[in-house]
Amino acid sequence: MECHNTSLIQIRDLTKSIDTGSHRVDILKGIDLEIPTGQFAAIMGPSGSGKSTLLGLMAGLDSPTSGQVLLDGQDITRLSEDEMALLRGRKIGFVFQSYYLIPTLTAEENVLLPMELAGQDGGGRERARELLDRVGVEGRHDHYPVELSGGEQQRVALARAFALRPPILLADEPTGNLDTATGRAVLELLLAQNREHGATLVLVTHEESLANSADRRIVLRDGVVVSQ
Amino acid sequence: MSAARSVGDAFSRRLNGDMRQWIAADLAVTLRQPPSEEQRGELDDLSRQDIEETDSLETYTMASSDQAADPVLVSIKSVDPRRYPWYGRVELEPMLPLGEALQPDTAVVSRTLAERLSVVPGNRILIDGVDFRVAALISSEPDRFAAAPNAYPRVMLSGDAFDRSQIARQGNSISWRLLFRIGAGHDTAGLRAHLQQVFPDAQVVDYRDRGDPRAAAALNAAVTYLDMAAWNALVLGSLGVAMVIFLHIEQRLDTVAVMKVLGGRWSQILAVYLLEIGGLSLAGCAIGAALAIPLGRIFLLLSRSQSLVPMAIEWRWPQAGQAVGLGMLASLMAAAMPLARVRAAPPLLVLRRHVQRPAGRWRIGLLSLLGMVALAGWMVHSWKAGAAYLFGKAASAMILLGAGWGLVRVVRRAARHWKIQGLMNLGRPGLHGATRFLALAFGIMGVTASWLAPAAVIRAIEQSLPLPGADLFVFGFGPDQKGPLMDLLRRNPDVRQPVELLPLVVLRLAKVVGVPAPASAPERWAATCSSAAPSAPLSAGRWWQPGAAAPEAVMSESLAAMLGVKVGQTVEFLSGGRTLPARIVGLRRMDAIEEQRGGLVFPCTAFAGLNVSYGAGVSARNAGADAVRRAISATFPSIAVIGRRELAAAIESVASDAIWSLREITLLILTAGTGILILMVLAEEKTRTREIAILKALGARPSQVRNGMLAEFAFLGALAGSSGGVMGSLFASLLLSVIFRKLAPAWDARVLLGATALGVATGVAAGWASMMRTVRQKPFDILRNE
Repeated sequence: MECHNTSLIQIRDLTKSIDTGSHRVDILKGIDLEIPTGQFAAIMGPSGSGKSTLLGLMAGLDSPTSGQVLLDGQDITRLSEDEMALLRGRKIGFVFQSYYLIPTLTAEENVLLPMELAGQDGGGRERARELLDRVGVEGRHDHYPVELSGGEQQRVALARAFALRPPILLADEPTGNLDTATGRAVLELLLAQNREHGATLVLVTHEESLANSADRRIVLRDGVVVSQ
Repeated sequence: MSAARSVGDAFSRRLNGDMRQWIAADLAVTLRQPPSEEQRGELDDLSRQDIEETDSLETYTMASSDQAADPVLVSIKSVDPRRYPWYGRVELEPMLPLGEALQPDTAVVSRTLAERLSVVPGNRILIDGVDFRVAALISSEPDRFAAAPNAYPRVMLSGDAFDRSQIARQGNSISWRLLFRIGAGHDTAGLRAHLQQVFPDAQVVDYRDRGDPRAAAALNAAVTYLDMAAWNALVLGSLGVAMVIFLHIEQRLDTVAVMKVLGGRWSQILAVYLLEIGGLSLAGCAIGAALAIPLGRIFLLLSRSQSLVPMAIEWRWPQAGQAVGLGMLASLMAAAMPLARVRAAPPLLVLRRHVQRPAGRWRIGLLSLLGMVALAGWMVHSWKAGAAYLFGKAASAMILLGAGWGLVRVVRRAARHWKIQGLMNLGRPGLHGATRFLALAFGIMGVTASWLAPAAVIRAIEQSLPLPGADLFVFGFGPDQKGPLMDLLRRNPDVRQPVELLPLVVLRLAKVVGVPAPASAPERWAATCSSAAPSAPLSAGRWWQPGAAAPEAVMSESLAAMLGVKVGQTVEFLSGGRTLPARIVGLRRMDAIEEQRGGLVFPCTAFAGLNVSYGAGVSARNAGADAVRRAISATFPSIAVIGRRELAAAIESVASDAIWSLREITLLILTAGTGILILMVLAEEKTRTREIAILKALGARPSQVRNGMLAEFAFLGALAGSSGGVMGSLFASLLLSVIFRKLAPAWDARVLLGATALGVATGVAAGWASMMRTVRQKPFDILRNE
């Protein structure tokens, strides 16, 4: 379904439930949200409030039980896996709290991966190195993830998310496993992408200081938006 | 795996089992001529002492039917169905008692003959020109291979029917087997010695020995082969178990680290996991061992081996114990290895999966290897054979591992250069490309070798057929038929002259250099003769001199070595009641097949007065072989005539039954092994579900993930299949060259292609199975279920 709206991300009456076998858990209970282009939004809330699930649904990494997620006017809940994959590669950069680097690839190969998947020829290796240098992982391009610290792994994960210059950056507690100084540096990198390249940034966090840098604060509790 | 092992074991037990079943008697005497009046008198004396005896005659002749154009050479066996067999059973189809099926005007025939003559039970056939009704088909016969390697379709007759056929009066070469059943309390050794005195040039065997040492050696080799195959099955099975347990523990290392953080002592942690694994393994292995019996029986129901060697699968405690013990040992060893790896490591490193290999790891490897040698030695009852086999396998594994390591790196480099997704994964640390290559290549090597070796045996036998250039073989005729037959062939315009004649005498070894022959020496010797000294090169000595006073002979080099005979020494043989001393004047290098045909070559003058049977090779003009054959059969209906192609087919048909039996069992084991290999690869690939989730989160389409991984698996499979095929061919060639004592290459391009295809199929199956569910899932679902 095509809609004409200035909001880059639109969420309509979104619900998500999971069946654990013994009982059903309602994680999201009818979320409505709009995030305009270029905005930096922070999603906050206590553990179990549904923050990460909401972010995963925005990225098309999960399927909702009901409702719609529209990116740039396109309802991604109705896309096939192939169409969704193309959209993820073109429009979304996702950063996980646990980094999720591929352990059998070097830092450089991890950053190169989205470009190879998108079939970009030429210049990929140079761009991967440049991105790694920019996020502060100079001289460790050939290291495997286990040989890097947590902060370095998260920087590599950021470089990977920036690789295709996506218009939407979604980050799930990117500083959750990092110390304050490293966390701050990671946030600066995300903010730079938001300010310098106009990327829409949606960040899930528990940290007030991070949320204070955001243009907008969305608070979830028990699967519903309590303030935005 | 236990089922495969049970079948192998049942076959091995049958081969190695009670000799009474193989000779259908307690004691058997084989003669080349009928017993004399005096000898018959001795047999009558024995029958009064509660020692029962029955005669079984074997010979060759021709059989025909109205439904088939050409007669077929058959192997005739005449028995007294009221007494034969003393042990084992002749199984017939339809199920009839042998005594009921064998009447003076009936015959029972093998299925092969029924097919060749296009007849079914109830139809009529002509044997030696005499009419018989086919009463039933033979499904199995206990002593089928007791008299001689039997390559021709079988016809079984009663004594009356045999007399009616006139075969005995035609002068054909007949072997008599006197089968004895000894009453309780009789001394077998004493009776055997007595019979050897009564029948000095006969071969006497009893249920305690295995007859000819060469046959015994072949049988032992087959039993060892099956024991090793069974051992292979258990090792492959335990490898699969070990791999699964290893991955199970690897996935729980986080918990181990957390337990360490919480103050858990190493002994506590070890106890928890070893108890868990021990319990799981015991339950799994016990269920597996119990299922082996019904699964094995289902296999036997479907198997072709049953017609050749009837087998039964029974519950056997030692076998079940071996399977359960080995499975548990493998599980505990596989669990101990990753646990030992994290023993000294700080919990944080364990959590980050960045644990160095401990220095003492080689000790665990060495211990495992010694354990395997011990087990192999126990199973084949020879530490030497077990160790030799295992180290042979280990050497092949090292070569393959080296090849795999090199190949995956070359491919990865090329793939990086050409940016081929999927292939770039080969050679990446943590994905164990070389290990997966080794597992697949090793399995395929076994399949290839077991497929090629038997086929190469048939080829070697066919290439070694006597009288090269002959289109027809006429054999088993005596001196009385020799003259008229040679006249007929001389006069026939379709026969190319001269006709080659091959005289054959079966001798019994009596003395070696003046002392009685050792028990370990072969008793029966096939000797041939030549009127003029041949020009073939000798490895020692010379060919005989014309007109030498005492018979001189040339002996096979390996047989001379077995007896410890040197050029110039004398060996004494018995034949037809007379002694034949032979002065060995030369030694000739012969391959194993030539040796079977005639390990001794005499001048023909030495055969005067002996019971000689003849074979002749006839070369026909202008494709007239069929006409010549019909002319011989018309004048001498009992003389065996067979075409070269038919002879090769006959050899192949019997050999292929035996070969199929071995192949079926080997393939059952290897199929189970391949299944385990797929499981191993599959278990390893489970670790890649996270990779699939990440790739999808980064925008990879399902087809991209699928194609990339399938390309990786298919390519790895192709590399492993072709390398395994080449190694298997080399292994089979080496084995056969040793057996035949000559270079015997076992190459077949179709088998190599098949091995490559098998590798690709196995790789793709494993790759497909590992990702078919994950690749369609949403990344969050994958990560959530991880």
